[in-house]
Amino acid sequence: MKVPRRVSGSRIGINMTPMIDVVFLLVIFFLVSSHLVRQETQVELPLPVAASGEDDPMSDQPRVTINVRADGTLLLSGRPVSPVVLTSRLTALRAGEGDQLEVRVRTGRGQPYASVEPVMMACTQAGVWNVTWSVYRQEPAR
Amino acid sequence: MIAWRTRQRESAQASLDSAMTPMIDVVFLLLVFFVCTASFKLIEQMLPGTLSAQSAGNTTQAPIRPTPEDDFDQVVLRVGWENDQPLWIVNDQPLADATALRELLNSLAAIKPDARLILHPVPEVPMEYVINAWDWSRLAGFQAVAFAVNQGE
Repeated sequence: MKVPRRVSGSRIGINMTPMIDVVFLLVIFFLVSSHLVRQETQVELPLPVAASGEDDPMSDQPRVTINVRADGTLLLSGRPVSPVVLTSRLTALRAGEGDQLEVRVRTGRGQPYASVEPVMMACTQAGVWNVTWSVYRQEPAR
Repeated sequence: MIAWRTRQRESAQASLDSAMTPMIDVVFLLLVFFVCTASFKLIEQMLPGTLSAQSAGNTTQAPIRPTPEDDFDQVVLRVGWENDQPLWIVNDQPLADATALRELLNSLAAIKPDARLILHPVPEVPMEYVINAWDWSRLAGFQAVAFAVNQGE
């Protein structure tokens, strides 16, 4: 009589491979989706280069980033705003945050100063004097 | 005997094939993971500064050929735009080129680094040159660099 052979050791283990697959897929999904959300406010612009630029201090200082597109459109929180609206928004923020409020201007290197002037005017009228510029790093040529 | 060996070899081959599939899966996932996390963007930095709404009328301006005895409160650097070229003007004195400007800024900052440098660009000048002027002023050693803003215009 042929005795059926028992499965030796009864190796019932969890197959890790599909689990790793799914976990990595989830990680990639969240990475890519968070990246897309960040791009809403970080408009792609050919920023000017500077040798004396400083690394972002990552402080708790209240900051507003204003992107100035090539066509002169001002973007506040990723949305186009007129200079009048920008002034009123900055005035409201200045009232809430006080002197610490920083305005970060992001603009293309080929754009004329005229496209940035409305931002400066809005800052002055709102009483914001702390204006910084986003630049790309350039090695000092000495 | 030969048939048994052939069967064994085929079985080993099949086992190897099936083991490769999840490995390729994981390797590709790792590859995509690293591609996603790698940053292809240039490092963005910030250039600090302030705005200045005051007029340049009642303050002592820097001389165009400074000497260590000179005393001045501020340096007004105007950035003009003529024939698609930047025009550098320090205290109403035009300079030949960017090198002359940098030399003058270095000598002025060496005498009085706490003097206020007011940057006054014309609307037509590209931001590249405005930021250059700002950058060179900071590199020269000026501690307070500000943009001139005309209020009420």
